[in-house]
Amino acid sequence: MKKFISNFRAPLGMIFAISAGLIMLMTYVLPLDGLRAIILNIVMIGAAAALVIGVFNLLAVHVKRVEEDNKALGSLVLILALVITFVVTLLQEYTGFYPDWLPGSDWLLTYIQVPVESALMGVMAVTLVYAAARIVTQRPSIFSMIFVLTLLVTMIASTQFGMDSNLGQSVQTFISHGLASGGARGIIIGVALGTIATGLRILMGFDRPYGG
Amino acid sequence: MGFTDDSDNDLPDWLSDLGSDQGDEGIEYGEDSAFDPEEDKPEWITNDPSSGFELPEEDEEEVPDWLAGLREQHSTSTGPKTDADIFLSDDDDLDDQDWLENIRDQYVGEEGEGEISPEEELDIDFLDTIQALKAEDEQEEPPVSDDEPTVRLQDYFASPEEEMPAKEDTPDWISGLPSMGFGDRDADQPGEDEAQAEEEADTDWLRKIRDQEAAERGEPVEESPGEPESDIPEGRYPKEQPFSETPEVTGSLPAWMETLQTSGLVLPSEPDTDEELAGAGYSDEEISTLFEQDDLPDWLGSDSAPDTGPSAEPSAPSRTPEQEEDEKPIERAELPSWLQAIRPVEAVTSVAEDHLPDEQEALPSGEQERVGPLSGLRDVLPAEPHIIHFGTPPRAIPGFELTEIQRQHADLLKSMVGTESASAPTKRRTVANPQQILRWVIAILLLAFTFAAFWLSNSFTLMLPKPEGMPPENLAVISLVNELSAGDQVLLAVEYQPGLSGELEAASAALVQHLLLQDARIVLVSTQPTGPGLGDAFLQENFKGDDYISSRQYANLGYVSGGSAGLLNFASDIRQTKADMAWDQPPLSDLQTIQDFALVAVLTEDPDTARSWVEQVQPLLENPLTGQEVPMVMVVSAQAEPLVYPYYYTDPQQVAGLISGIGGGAYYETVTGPSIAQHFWTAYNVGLVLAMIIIAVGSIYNLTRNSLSGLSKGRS
Repeated sequence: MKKFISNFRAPLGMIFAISAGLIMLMTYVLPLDGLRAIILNIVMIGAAAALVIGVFNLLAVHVKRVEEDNKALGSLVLILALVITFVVTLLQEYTGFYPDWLPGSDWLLTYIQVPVESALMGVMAVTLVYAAARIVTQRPSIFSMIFVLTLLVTMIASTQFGMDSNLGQSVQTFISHGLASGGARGIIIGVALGTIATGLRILMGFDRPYGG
Repeated sequence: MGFTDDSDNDLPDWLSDLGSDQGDEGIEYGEDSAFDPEEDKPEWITNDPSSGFELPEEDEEEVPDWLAGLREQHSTSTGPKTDADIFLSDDDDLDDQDWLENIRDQYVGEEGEGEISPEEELDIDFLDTIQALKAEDEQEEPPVSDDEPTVRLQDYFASPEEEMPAKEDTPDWISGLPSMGFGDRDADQPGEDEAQAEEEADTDWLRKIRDQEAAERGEPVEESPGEPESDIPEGRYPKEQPFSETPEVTGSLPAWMETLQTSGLVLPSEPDTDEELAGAGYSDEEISTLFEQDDLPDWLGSDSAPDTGPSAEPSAPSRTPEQEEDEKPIERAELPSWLQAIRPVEAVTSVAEDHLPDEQEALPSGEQERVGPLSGLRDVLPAEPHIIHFGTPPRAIPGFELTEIQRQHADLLKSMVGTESASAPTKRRTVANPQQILRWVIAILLLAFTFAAFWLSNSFTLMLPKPEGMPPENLAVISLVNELSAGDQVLLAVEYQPGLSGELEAASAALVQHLLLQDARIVLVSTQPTGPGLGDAFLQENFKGDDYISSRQYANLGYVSGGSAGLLNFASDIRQTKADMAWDQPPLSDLQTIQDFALVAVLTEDPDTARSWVEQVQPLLENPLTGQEVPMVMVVSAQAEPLVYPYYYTDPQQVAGLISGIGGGAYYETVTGPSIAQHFWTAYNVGLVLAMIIIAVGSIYNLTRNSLSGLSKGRS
């Protein structure tokens, strides 16, 4: 039975993918808003279910790690944090008997998750400053010098002094809105063309990212 | 099974397949396949001038086209030599037939001089018994396929025998060969006749192919001289023994290498002396670990393990405890548990592969998800369109069948190539070096100056930037908010991660303050799981002085799943998407569609998220009946501004206004009054100037040092 399913999985997947793509494409041309809403609802439910499955998958992985290795302290902390957060959020949001004096899910987010992730960003800032100071040594080339000069000019223009001076504003506008945004616009056009090409290839069955 | 069968096993797979495909059923092996080498040999092989076929043995140009094509295909398919190729085959320039015969000739030359000892005679009798049993098995069972060429031979190899001394003039890789019984054959039969018989047996399938091709072309098929094998008197040729001795299982080689020897692969012997090892260019550490099983890919070790079981056991007692201690596999370096904990993907795959049932292994495994919450799972549809790298899936080539050994070789090559891209693990330094000290100094300087400026903000505060220099995209946002009237609904999309909440909150505080001043009604929504909580915390912490916020009169629609598709669904029908909300009660009762909002403000640090809002939501903001369009503004991180700015700097505008970074928020606060940006403005400038100084000084110092070192090298 499994072999039978595996043999028909690829063509069935292709049929479903191409059909869904064509139907969604038609909803933009024909008055099929209701059908599009149904398909999008299915997608949303599937994505939400995937998130739940992912949480349980993460939990299963770390439970297995704790079972196999008694020293997996990180996994143990992750499991405890997941369970505590899940229970606290569940009780606070969907039951009426969660005490007010206990820290809730908002407290966990504000005083644990946000500081931890912000600290990681601070470490990255220090690392970037250090890397920028040494880039001339690590990669001594004209492009690295141009990079460092551009970085310094942009930073000067972002300070109080640069923002209040006409020269700083002009330089900032030229670099950020001229050079960088010009390149970004090219990227956006490329992404649009690539999206069209990829969509056509999927609709024609040349690309099968869903497997098969 | 006779000698010819053994040679068949030694043939490369591509050649063996051809032979087996073309007429295995007509080929008899061993004793039954004895035939007259002169009679059975076809004319085009015997090089009879009268037959019209002249095929000098050393002239490759006169090989038939179809055979030359096969040879070329094999030579091209092998590609450039790899280490494994060199390891497995000492000389690839030899023709397949030639190297096979050279091996036998050399081995016959070595073994033919000795006399048969009584012990060897016992072995022969024993082998005769096995041979007879084997012949019975072959009559009852179909020929063994190439996929399992030495399954039954492995059992035969289980008993250990005396170590065969290698001749001094024998190449090392030949001396590592297992004993194949050539000596016994040579003792009973002259070597020339035996070589001819061997050649006949090896080319028997070639003759079959030739006959089949001739039949397909409609030409008369030559009568096969090898068919009436039963006419050959029994006893004309001695019984061919496949192996006179079992291969050496000395324990000097890893078990997998000995298994490869028994399965017909030619392997080099282990260097005996230190001089050989030194000549090979191995370091002491490499010598100690060169032949360890842990150096092999997992698939090779695991595949060979079952085969080596019977043969490895007898050799175990001959090892001394010191040898066993030396042969213990080197323990892999263990990652810290906290580092392993953040890599669930590998854990899932390794555990799943180790415990995968055989039935599941037979099924084709799908692509493994590598990102998102489903990391580590297989057969899931990818939900991240901007992460997927599309490509043409592999296609099966009709008529091309991969044998097991070819697949193993391909896997070996793939593993070798794969390791090229893998980064070597860096050694952890235990002693602080100047770079580490410099990193710590930079971190301490940045932290010290930033905190000092933050704490001294009461006595020393930088002025906000002058409003005259406000960029037009900021002015556009201010103008749009000024046009709002009391009670207008504003959709506030909180789409940033917690790590960048500091910057985004500083940039957007003035906007929210301005909205509250305009008595606008705020509705929160997010496609990030942490977004609703972040938005709620942002409002409650920074605007708790406002009754509207503290009394929670605003609405929080929560999390919208599905990424871009969810956004499109939300924009298409907000009520149906968030059906659990109280849409019949204020403040949501006035909202029917997304066009009922007066303003849409997106707070994000991710350019892709901003693009999703522009692509999925912005086209639906225009009311088809009235033609009025709900403006969409964005508050983005400074790093995302260049990628979002093109949506503003276009006509018609897809983004009506833009605020970027703390600088944009500081400009905005010059209009609405000081808020978070003003609070951080001094420390932000101090940190920025200090980072600028560090980068400039470090770059100048390193550049000067490089120049001076270059000059000194030039002088020297």
